[in-house]
Amino acid sequence: MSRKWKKTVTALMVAAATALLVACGGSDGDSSSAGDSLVIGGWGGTIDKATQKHYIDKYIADGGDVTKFSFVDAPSAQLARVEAQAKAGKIEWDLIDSAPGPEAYLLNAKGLLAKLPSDLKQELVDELGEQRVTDFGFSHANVGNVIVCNMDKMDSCPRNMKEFFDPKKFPQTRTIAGNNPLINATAAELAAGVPREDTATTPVNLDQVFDQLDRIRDTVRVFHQSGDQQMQVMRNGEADMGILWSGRAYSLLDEGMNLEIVWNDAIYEPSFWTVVKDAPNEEGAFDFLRWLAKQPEAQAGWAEELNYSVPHPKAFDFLSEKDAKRQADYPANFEVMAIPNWDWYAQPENKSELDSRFQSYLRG
Amino acid sequence: METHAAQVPTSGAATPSAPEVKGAWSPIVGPWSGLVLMAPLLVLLVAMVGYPLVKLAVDSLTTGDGIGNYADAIADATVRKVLVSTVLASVVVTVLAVAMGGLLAWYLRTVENPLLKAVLWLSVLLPVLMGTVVKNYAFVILFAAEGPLNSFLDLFGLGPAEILYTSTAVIIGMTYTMIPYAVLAMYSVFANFDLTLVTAARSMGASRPRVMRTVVLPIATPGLIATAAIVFAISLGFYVTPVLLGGAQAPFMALFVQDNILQSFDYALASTSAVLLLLVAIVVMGAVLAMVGGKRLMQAFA
Repeated sequence: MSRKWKKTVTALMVAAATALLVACGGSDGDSSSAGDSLVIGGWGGTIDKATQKHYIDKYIADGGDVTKFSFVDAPSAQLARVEAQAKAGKIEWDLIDSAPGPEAYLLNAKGLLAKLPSDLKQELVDELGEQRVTDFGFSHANVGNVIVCNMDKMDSCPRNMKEFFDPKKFPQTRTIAGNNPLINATAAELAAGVPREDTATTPVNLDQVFDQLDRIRDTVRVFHQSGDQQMQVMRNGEADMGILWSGRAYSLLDEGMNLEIVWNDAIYEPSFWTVVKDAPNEEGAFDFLRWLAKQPEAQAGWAEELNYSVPHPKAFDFLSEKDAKRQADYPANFEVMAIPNWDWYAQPENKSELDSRFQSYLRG
Repeated sequence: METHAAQVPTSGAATPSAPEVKGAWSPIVGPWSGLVLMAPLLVLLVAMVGYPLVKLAVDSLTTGDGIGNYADAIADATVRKVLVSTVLASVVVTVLAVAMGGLLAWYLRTVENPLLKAVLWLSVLLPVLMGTVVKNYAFVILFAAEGPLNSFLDLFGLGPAEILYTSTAVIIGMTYTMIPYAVLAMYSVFANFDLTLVTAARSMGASRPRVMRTVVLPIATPGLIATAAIVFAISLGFYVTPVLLGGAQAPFMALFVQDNILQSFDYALASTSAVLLLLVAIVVMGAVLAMVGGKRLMQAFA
């Protein structure tokens, strides 16, 4: 063949080879069958490690049905990831490790979570108690959004939310969540005078809420967006006090910081172990949940490591007094906490109004 | 009989290509071969860049309120503020980066000492090798409330500079990231610069500023514009620096879009604001193009 054609053919072969390389390099090569593996949408870092150590390794040792576990990390983005999977028509996750409360309720409202089979639900209720179990999972890693003060920088700490929202009495720099409008709204409601017992059922009055938030806007130096950032902000002195996750606050305390942690008026935020609807291995996922609910000792180990609360009532027996007091579900703590109004937030119009007003508040 | 030297063709057409000996290798790639070789890149561009852009625009027009999305977005004070501050910050970064980058590139062109040249090149290229996240965390540590900068200011009794988590920190971080790009782009302009022009102008009595203004700048301008365009386009879409140095409250479009996707799940607003940013960018670049003239711009790229 002529030179010119030879060149074109060579060029074609080069192009084809490149395309093949790209295609092969990108393929997954997953060979395991769906039946013996579970994919968990997790928080990453220390939480994944604790789940691996206290739950997964023990489950496999106990002879559980599933032997292959893998984590996909999506901290604070679980709902977005599950929605994306549902939109693409390919669900890749089986379980969500401690999906944050608001997201779990929203996912459920959108029909993206698997409903627990009624016999499993009954087993869970018998084991953990009625208020820890919902249609879509059980609560786990419950957080208290507590008031935290750096006592090296101030003499006294706010004793409740009214004082936290008082910039004259407490002019110090603050840090609050940048990605959780409902928790901030509930805190502001308490400051505005809504009784603690009523926050779960009172519709949120947005004008009232943003009046309170506006009062402290100038003192908020940082809006934290992750657990690690919360700790870094307090550690570096960017803010002298704030509303933090209880687990992270206690980690800072253990690091040696001189902190005061106030549970009074803290906001209760449960997370949930849930199964994704149409998961590749729904059976295996329910089996894992059934096993997990009945492990007070394993749960206690997890709670001790991360300082987040676990559902099993007997877990407290395995915890030392000091660790038990750090749990959001510890009776003395739980009594003085406020519960946000999930049902109000699960309605789309309310959510979008609160979210967009919070965006304006953030970016001024 | 021995002939004299072959006749030199006297026809006017002087062809640069090799003589047409059949089967001879020619380095010039024909158009079809060229197209085929480029095909994987073209496919990737269309699939990974073209299609998402088109889908983004389509999404913004079909989800939510349709065309009403744009009316809502423009009416929303937050969107306007974020758009304006993103563009303004990008302009500031562009001016700073191109000015500093241009100066550095000129110096790199004219410096004689090889050691100095090597050190300069190293200091320009090192930030690129460092990676964006590491660079930004370095700034977080530098600007921290009790970090090196504030300790240094403390020595002189100057108050703590609250730079971190403000737009100033973001602009500093972005400029630092963009200077290597500006230097590299401007260096390619200056690399072929004929320094004897400068000597000639000086010998005719021009002062140094006048030389820079009347000899160097006109030649460098297309390159400057092209560099500015590149830096501006990249700055508009910056995400990591605003997140790390500006905090959740930083008024930048990338953060706004992220929050709308991951927290508010308002995909309509997210895609609409992204398209708005793209439109603003195109308008700005188009205006610059009109000012400079397309032909001069092509000179810079050629």
